[in-house]
Amino acid sequence: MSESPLSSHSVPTIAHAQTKAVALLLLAGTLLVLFVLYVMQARGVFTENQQLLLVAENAEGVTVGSDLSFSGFPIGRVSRIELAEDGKAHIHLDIPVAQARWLRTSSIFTLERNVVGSAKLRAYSGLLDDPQLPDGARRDVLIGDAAAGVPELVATAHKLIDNLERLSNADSALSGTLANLQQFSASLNGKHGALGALLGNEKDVAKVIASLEQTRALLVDARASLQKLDASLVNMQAISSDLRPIVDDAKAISGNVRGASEDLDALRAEVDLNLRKVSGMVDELNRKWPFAREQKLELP
Amino acid sequence: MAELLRQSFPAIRQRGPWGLWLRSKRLLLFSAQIALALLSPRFHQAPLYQRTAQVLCSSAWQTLASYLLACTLISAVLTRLVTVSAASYGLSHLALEGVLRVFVIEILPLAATLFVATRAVPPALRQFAQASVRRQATLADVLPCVLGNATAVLVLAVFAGILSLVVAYLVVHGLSPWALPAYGRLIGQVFDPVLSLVLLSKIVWFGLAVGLAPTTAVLETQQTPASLEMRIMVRLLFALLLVEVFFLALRLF
Repeated sequence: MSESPLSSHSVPTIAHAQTKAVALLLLAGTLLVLFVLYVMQARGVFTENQQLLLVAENAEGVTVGSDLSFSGFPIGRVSRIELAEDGKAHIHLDIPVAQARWLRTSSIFTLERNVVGSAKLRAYSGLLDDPQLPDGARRDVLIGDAAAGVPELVATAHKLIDNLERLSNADSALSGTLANLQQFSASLNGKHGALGALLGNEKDVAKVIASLEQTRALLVDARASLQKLDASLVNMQAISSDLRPIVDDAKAISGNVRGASEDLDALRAEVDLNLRKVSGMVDELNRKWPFAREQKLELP
Repeated sequence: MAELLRQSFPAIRQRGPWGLWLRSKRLLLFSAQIALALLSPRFHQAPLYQRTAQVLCSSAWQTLASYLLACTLISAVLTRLVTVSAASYGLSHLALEGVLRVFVIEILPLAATLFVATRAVPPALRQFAQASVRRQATLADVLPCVLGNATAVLVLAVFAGILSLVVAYLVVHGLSPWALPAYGRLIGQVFDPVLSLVLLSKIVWFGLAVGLAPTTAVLETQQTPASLEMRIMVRLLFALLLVEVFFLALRLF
């Protein structure tokens, strides 16, 4: 190499520059290698995994590297997403063998999409005594989409706002009702109070008031009549006390009559007996009568 | 390959769009030749390493402490701001990921690049802008500047990135070790293989831009040192902008 033109213009040299440069490069290289190893370890490159296939209607929001969490702790990672022949999304997960014990044959897998943030895959294992999920298992994913309800919510809110607008419109039934209510309350506070509010016009109110006045007069008359009736009842009570001896006499007479009627029964029986005897005598006379024309007995 | 650069890349006299295209093409060819020379074992000799070590120490070693201190303060403040703001909106679970994705991946490499550029480009420009140097410069003269500054960017970005990860953890979780698994998992999620490669490539391209920009002064013919410095800095910023836009587009598409 020829003499460099920079040698006469070079910057001040730094002592032990090569040593320092080598130290710097070694340190940087070591840090870089350690960082790469750390990232590889964090990405599960050095851990033994078992495979899990989750089948979802759609894998929107799921990315390679997303976590599968159990009780809030990540226990697996999405390694691949593909659209299968059946039109469903196949989400392949790597589950470290050490974490696979949390997944059982009865485990349920959900894909939850939040309004903010990426979709979250979660596993729920209610029965930890069930057999462990085998390697390469295939499970369906239940999808819970918080954002899916938003359009419906917006539509409902829109409808609600329309209804409110219709209700609060000046021509709406509610406005009419409120106006009537205001008129009713004004009538309540008016000259005739509740009566005016109920009847609505002065003429009917006057009629009702007149009727009430007449009713009041009738009540006065009725009260006077009742007083007279009370007096009559008092007189009747006095008369009844006077009639009591007469009634006693009548009772005695009726007793006598009852006795007489019992005698009449005996008398009747005796008359009946005498009549039978007379009848017998007549029959005897008819038999003994020589000029009896025919011997024929007629029954009564 | 002791051929003078001025002879390999003759000056473009034309003006207008065609002249601009030719000058851009000359710069690209110059950069490509330097990149090939960096890969060529012929240039990897003791003098190159000695001068590269000087440039690297000047750009990175002497400024390492102050740069790391500044990074620590900025990352602590930024992490605190992001986590508190996210918590007030109920998004605290997204705060750390946001810090990693925005600060560590996007801002820190650019910060390291600009730091090296402000530290190393002016002295390098003072060297290459001199008329005698411009006339006699060869590839062997510019390679230490390119290699040293590019390595300085890489070293500072690595140190600052890892330091920021530690500071972010300490700001959010304190000295508690119980959040380390979750934090490691988050780092593993953010630094997926594709993103890591993109980040490393971006840092390398930033470093090459910082290393190459001052060496392009040897191709200039008529500028005064002041206007040349301004021209080179604009060229550097444009190159950094192109790299940033390219990688942004790469990630988006």
